[in-house]
Amino acid sequence: MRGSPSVPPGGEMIITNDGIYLQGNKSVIANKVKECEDYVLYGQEPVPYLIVCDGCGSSFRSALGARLLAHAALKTLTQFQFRIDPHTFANEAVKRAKFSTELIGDGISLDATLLLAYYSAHERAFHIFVCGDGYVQWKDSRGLGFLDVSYTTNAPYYPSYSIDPRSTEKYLLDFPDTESVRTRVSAGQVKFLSAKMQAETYAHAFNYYPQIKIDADSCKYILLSTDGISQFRNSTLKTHSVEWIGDKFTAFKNTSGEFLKRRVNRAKKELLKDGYDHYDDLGVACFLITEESNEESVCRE
Amino acid sequence: MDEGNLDAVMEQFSGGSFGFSGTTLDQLKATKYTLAVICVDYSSSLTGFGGELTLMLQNIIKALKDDPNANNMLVRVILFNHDLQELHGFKLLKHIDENQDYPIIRPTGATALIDVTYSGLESLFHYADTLDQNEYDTNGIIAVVTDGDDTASGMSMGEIPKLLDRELKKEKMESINRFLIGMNTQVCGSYLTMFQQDAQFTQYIDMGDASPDNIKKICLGISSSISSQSQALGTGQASAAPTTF
Repeated sequence: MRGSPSVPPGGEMIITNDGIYLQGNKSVIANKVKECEDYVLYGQEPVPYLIVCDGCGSSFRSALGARLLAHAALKTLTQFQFRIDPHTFANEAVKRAKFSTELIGDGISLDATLLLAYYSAHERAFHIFVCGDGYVQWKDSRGLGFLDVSYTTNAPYYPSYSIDPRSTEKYLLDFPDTESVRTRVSAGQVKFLSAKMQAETYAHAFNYYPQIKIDADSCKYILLSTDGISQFRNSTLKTHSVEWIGDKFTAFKNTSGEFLKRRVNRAKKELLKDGYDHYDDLGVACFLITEESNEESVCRE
Repeated sequence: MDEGNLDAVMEQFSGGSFGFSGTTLDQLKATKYTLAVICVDYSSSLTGFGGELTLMLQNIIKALKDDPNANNMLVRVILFNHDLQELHGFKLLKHIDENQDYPIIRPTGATALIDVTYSGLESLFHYADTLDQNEYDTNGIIAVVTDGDDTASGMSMGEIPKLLDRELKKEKMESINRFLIGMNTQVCGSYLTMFQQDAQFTQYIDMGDASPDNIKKICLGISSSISSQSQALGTGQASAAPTTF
């Protein structure tokens, strides 16, 4: 599937996208070879989109499950674009993916977080869904914005649970904190990323999936990431803030083609020089909004 | 891009001892590239083999275009006698038309072997540096095909190790393989063996006479070396596959 960069009607705005997923070093520490449980899809058809999934490490073959869920999510987006909320979207994607796992028939788990960003041309806006934990960062005329979604239980309420009442019951038995979702959001314009004080934290129900709408005309970029972005650690287990890493991932020197892959690879090298390696798998995708471009964009993993 | 105006996607790079041209960065979409410089001697001692040399260049490009990593290769070709002639700078393979870009070579003149080696290396380092500043990963390969003793260089031999010492320390490229390929080496074989050591080529290959069969082997050897170097990109290693000519 191929597509050209999107030029919204009535404007010269160009939306390009790129993505990358990388295996973390925890499997190296554990001395076992495993697949990357994070996965990324991005493209221009049916609308410009980013899909980021993070498979649950303790569930059976969730690396494959995350991939199936991402592709099912893309099909769901094609079917339901513009008329869907995060829960309906996640449920439909899981149901589609479940057909695949049932056909394969070896108990592949679909326990995975699902992040989606897509462009709605008639609204000239981006919609973002965070189903599970993850991180979103964007920049617009007001400055930098972010949404960091985490769980006090460190156990996301995966979309796969919501289609199975028994899974939800078990989840609530295991994690009785029904207000387990924490969203940390930028409060207004954040100019200096070390200023954690400028973020505000809210508590939500365990099954809350945040949704954001961002005006496209003033937007410069949108970055989606799995929680792997919070796991750059040094030998003393010190980590950088997600905003700091997000800022590093979006300091593009060159916006041609695989702009995000180059930036993340280079940022990773720079962090490694400083002693910081990413412990967890990492999946990142980005929309870049420019005024004019001759970019080519293709739907890719 | 206007496919009819390829000059629009090439940029002239100055600085250093020799200029060169390379593809503009807006045309480079990928994360990693293999930079290849192919230097071909056309001094008068190769009179009678011009057609084979042209065919060799055409076949190298054809072979590279079949490579799975073809989209990630940038190739620069220099013809040299006592003078250096850049047939094209670092060009994406898809922009090279092997049937149009390589004229029938008419051997003439003396041999500026040191100059072409220096120019090729300098352009590799310079272009890799430019790409590195824009966050592209690169590795490099240079292949110098010659039949003789240096008779016309303006630079001294000592400049090449100095350049290598200075640039390799910067670690802008993951690796750089350097091949010296000798043809018609009955007279200058021992000189080229020494030149390989002095100029720090990683390998010297004596191809014997400049017969069509041997020129064909050089073509296969260069294309397979560039190909294996390209496959090694991202591993942090030089090409793992052995180079066979």
